Amino acid sequence: MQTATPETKHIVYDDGIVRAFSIATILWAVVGLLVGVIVATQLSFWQANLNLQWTSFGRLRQLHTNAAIFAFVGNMIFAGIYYSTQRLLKTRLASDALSWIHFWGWQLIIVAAAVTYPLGLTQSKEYAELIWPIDIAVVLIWVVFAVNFFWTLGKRNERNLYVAIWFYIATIVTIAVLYIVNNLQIPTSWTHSYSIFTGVQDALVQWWYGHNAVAFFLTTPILGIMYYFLPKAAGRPVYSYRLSIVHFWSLIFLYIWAGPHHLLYTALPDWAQTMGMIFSIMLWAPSWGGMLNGLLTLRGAWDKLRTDPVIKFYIVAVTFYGMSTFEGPLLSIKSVSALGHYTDWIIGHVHGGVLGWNGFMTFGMLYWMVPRLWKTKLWSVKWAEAHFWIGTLGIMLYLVSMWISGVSQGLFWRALDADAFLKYPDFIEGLLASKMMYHTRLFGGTVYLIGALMMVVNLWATIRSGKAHNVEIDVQSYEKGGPGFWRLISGAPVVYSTILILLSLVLFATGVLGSALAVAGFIIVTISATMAVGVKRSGKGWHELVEGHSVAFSVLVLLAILVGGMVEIIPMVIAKKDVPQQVAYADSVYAATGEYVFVQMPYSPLELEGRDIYVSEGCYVCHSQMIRYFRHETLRYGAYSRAEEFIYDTPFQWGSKRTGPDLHRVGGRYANLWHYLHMMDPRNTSPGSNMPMYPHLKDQKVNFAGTAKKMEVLRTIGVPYSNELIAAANETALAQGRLISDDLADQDLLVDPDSKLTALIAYLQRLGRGPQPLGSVTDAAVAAQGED
Amino acid sequence: MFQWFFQDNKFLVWPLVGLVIFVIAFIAVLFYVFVVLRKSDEVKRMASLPLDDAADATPEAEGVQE
Repeated sequence: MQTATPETKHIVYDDGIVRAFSIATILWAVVGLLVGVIVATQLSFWQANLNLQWTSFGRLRQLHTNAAIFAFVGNMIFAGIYYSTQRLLKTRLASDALSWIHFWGWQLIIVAAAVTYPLGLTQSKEYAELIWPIDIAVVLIWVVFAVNFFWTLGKRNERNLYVAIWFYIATIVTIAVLYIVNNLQIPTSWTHSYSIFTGVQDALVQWWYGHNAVAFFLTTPILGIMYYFLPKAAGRPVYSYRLSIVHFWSLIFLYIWAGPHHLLYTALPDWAQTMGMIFSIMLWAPSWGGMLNGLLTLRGAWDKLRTDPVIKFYIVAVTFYGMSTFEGPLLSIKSVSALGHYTDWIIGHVHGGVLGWNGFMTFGMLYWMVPRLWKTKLWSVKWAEAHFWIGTLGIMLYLVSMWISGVSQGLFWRALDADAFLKYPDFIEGLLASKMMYHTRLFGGTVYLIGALMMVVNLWATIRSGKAHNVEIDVQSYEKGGPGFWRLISGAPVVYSTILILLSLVLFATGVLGSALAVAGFIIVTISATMAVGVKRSGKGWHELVEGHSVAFSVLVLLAILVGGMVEIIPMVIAKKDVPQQVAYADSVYAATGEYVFVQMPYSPLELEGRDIYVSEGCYVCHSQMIRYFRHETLRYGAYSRAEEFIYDTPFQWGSKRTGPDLHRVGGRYANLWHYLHMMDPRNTSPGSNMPMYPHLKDQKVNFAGTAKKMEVLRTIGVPYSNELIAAANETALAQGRLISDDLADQDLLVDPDSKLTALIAYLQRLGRGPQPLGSVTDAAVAAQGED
Repeated sequence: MFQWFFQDNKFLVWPLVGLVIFVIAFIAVLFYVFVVLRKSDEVKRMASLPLDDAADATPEAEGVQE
């Protein structure tokens, strides 16, 4: 056991790094919100993309979400964490160098994202779109952040870790796990890669990540910031510290399970869907516990709400947290999801969280922190007040319009007439009906942006009137001498929990669910544990020891978040080997004859390239490829989607929003001519559509030099391409391309067989119906299957 | 029927094991927080940690310029 004599230390906080992240937050807030307004304009007026490939909705929407999440909120998180951590631990950040590497590294990543998305360089996995070299940079910078943070924990002058620090630890540990697992991929070039997961597995891993990016990037760090800054602004401690302990542990344990609620009624196995729903509903309790804890912190100080804009922002932010965490579980109920999924309701839900909860927490924090960082006074409280009301108005306009639009879309899509056929078979009708709500959303978003610009002016004037200032304190270091790791793991909670977990394993592994022995063991151990903890009331409790031991605390957090992920993902990955690679099924065209004619086979070289163009253009942001097993969906789109149909799809492209119709069974539904006309200008075939035009695809060539490499990489993850097919990739692709270009030439349209448009048409014609009967192409693919 | 479901894939028991682990941990945390920590002064001290920082509340930093 290590001991040291307490001493008085003079500490100068590193507030320079906090100032840098604060300024970056302000800058990226404007950028993220501005791009949001631009993409909202495009949804209202499709011409707003200026008919440029770089500014099409599919590409810019990815830039918007990433700018909002990782640039705006990300920089805010780092500013808040670095400010509060130093003060809660009464020490300077461990390394100035690491802090600045973290800062500049993160800004470079954001700039790289801002350059690559408009260029169409993307993985098209929601909130994980960055290409692999940038993914590596993200991981490296996150490690720098983690080292700096945990090193600071190690040199702290406060024995125990305040609850805000717990939330920061959970954020750092969990984001590392999520980001790395979801981005396991094999590069095919410097700008392209394939995920090692395919189909259903990819969908599950992606939404395990996607949902928990919301949980552990947009929620837990903000909760930590709430637990620090709200008491500071209110001038009183958090309402219930005990409740915050329950809030923390139950939240981080439950959140990690909830990802499958993004995949309800899809081809994901039903048990995983149900589990995602149940855990989402359970999340209601800790989320609202945290919300009430925040709101009640103002007990006895509600009068400040009248005069202090910081408190106003915080209270409305926490209220939006409560609203979003009510709406999330509500949408996770299967019957509600059936109505709301793929609609604008989800867009409204997400923006309630980001604009209301994240945005207002950010604004409140900046208004409180910036005057202190520059040792001055806020330039104008009136402007801050105005910002608050303008921002609130903007959010409400946004949310209400999306709720109305979303619920209307859900009802429109499912409406059946008296004969049980679609009442509104034309998808575009629903889009046209939403136009007014899209305009309202655009207005609300613009109003919110105007409020943010007022904040920029206010804070800029504040900064100019002050001078950068680093807070200095004298602090008495605490007497070190940790409890020792052995004492921690031999404590009663660990021992009894281990026994109970082992009993659980015995209970299930033996297959005797009602085992009297195991149940008796549960009862005895539970009573013993209660007595053991109850009797030992003197001295420090076990949890207090854990709080003082940051490594042990982090290990506990890691275990808590791993349980949920492992029990969902491992069975799915293991089950993959049971999925037959060749599955006979009845194509809808041939179903009437009763002949099972197609087998599940990999994409041809041209279809593969076409799929990569679909991915590159970000088509998934408006089109799903997942037909749910509802009558109204099968009537509109065709047979429902089955898990085995996606076994070679990486990345999966199920999507989460239908601004346009589902495309899973679009193959064979229209002629090549229809697709040509549609891509040249979607209004040619779908009057009223707000889809961008893609004429550039006709003039751009596919680089077939990289096709063989892509096929080789796909083979390593289980796609059965033969050596012969890979060797003949170019010729096979051109042969298939000529079939399409010849077909178009018969209708006086000249398109090169190696154009991107040809490849995209080949992919779209393949969707949902297996390979087309293309002679040598099909024969080669069948031969490849036979060899394997 | 319940047993048939689990016989289909032995790994399906893991979610239930996870659920049991959660319930145990949750009850343990509740018990600890609301029974063991009921009269703890340490909790009050911890709750006040954000306020134990006078350097951030200097008078000149309060108010506005208007």
